[in-house]
Amino acid sequence: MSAENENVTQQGADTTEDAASEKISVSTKDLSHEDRKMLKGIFLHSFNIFAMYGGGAKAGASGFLWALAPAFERFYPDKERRTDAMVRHSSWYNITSNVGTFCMGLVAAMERENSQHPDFDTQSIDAIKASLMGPMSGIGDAIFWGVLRVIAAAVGMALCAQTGTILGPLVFLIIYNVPSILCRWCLTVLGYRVGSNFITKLEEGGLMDLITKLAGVLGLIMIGAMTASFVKFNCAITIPAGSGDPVKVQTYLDTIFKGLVPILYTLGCVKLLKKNVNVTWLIVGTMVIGLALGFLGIC
Amino acid sequence: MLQLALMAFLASFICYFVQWTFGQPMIDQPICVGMVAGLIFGDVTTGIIIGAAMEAIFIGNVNVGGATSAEPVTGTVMAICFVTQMGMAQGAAITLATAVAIFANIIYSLIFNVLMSFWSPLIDWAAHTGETKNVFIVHFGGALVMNAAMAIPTFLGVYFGAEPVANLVNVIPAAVTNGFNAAAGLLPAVGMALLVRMLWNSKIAIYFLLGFICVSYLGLPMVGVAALAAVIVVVEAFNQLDLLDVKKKLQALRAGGGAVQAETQDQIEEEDFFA
Repeated sequence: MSAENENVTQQGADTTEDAASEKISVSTKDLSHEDRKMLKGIFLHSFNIFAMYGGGAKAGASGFLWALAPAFERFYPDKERRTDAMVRHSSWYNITSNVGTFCMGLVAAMERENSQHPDFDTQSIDAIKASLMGPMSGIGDAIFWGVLRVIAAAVGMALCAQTGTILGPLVFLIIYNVPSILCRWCLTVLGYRVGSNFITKLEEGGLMDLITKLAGVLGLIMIGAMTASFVKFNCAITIPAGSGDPVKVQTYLDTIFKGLVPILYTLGCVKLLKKNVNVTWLIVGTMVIGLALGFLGIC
Repeated sequence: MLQLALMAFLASFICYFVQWTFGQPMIDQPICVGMVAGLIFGDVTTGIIIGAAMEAIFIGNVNVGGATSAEPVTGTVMAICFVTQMGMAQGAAITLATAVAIFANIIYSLIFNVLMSFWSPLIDWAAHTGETKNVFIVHFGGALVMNAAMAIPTFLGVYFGAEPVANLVNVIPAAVTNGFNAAAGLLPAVGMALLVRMLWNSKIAIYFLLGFICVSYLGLPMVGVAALAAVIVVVEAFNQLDLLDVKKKLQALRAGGGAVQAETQDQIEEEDFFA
């Protein structure tokens, strides 16, 4: 493998090596003092991105303006040009909070270009911003909401579901937030450093699909484990067995497959969700079924 | 009653405000709401147990851009208030909280999308002044208004709901309690199903079963399952990367022909060798 990789890099030595070194670097060591200060500002402001949602039309707009405030202040000391830039950015913005900093870093880099070159096409900034929302949110939601939060919750819940120890929520918060904050910072720098063609490169190389797929593997294993832990069904019916003790139906169910009802019920819900049945109906239906089972003495 | 309602309001407000204003640290997930409300109502253990049960139900409730199917904070806070202050049974409280969560969601989408739209002219104003400190005022002022508005249903729920609930608690028959417990046991299935659908891909769906078996038959703890999953992901990653490489070479081979063929021929021989 390694020999062959060398082969490839040698072929396009000049071009690929530059791109590669830029691609992986999230260090700020070789950036100027002003750059570092601005990136720190954007990073800190980015935490407040969704403090106010701003209604259907301007969702996330004030947050984005606030997050990029350090860049506006730095690149546009002239008030007229700053106003122009801020008006341009007072539009709908929505990317998963902790990966959206990539977009912010990138926009900061483009605003820098714009401030230096009067003939810069500002529409390209809007275009990049808009085109990043879909893919970045897709991958961000899958990894952070779908996998990391799920793993953190699984570990946290397992700690405290029975005992109620405060370790549960604390462990949950730590497992989720440490990678989340690291990612937030690294992507701020990465966004500022790399060109706008980074995501395109990832997509063309098939890496984006691969990351999504692997995140899915991790997520599905954890969800399976949680289904077994937290979906509970216990049949209370017993069958009289001649002279001996009555046999519990639950014992039979467990012999067929341990946790048969929970897994079937969950997969049934998945199937209904795929048929676009509204979640609310599933929740209401489950409540009704649960209550009915209790009334009839089945559970 | 006013005091309880104010405490409940505070619990909800803290969860919302911290969640939205400080970078979504997931403090509005029921497991953390349980901790916050438990601390405020003076019974952390019960709070966290209820929070964990609610987490299992609402874990599939992904809050993306305010478009959710349920809003569990209000319900969780109310359930904890009723259990710790009025002696309501946990199963019944959890089922009640689930119903509240669905209803609350309607109110929240109104706050997010309709009420806060009245704030958007202020964003335009701030942008047109070109002063970032005006953005600060508009943004954080809006945050206070929005998060306080989101905590009001909790206040109303406790203020008007506590008395009827206190009266009801003593007269619930056993069959109903059993039913509530059964419902509380099955409800997490919906949450899990939502998650599964989000990540579903028929090629990897079988991993769901693997996770299930790890717990049901092997009895592995969650950290053990996570470690096992990490091993599988790393193995899978290497395999997939190899596959991707081979695919690229094949493409190059097909597209290139002639001159490229000579180069890639080398590589393929090498590939064979290393495989």
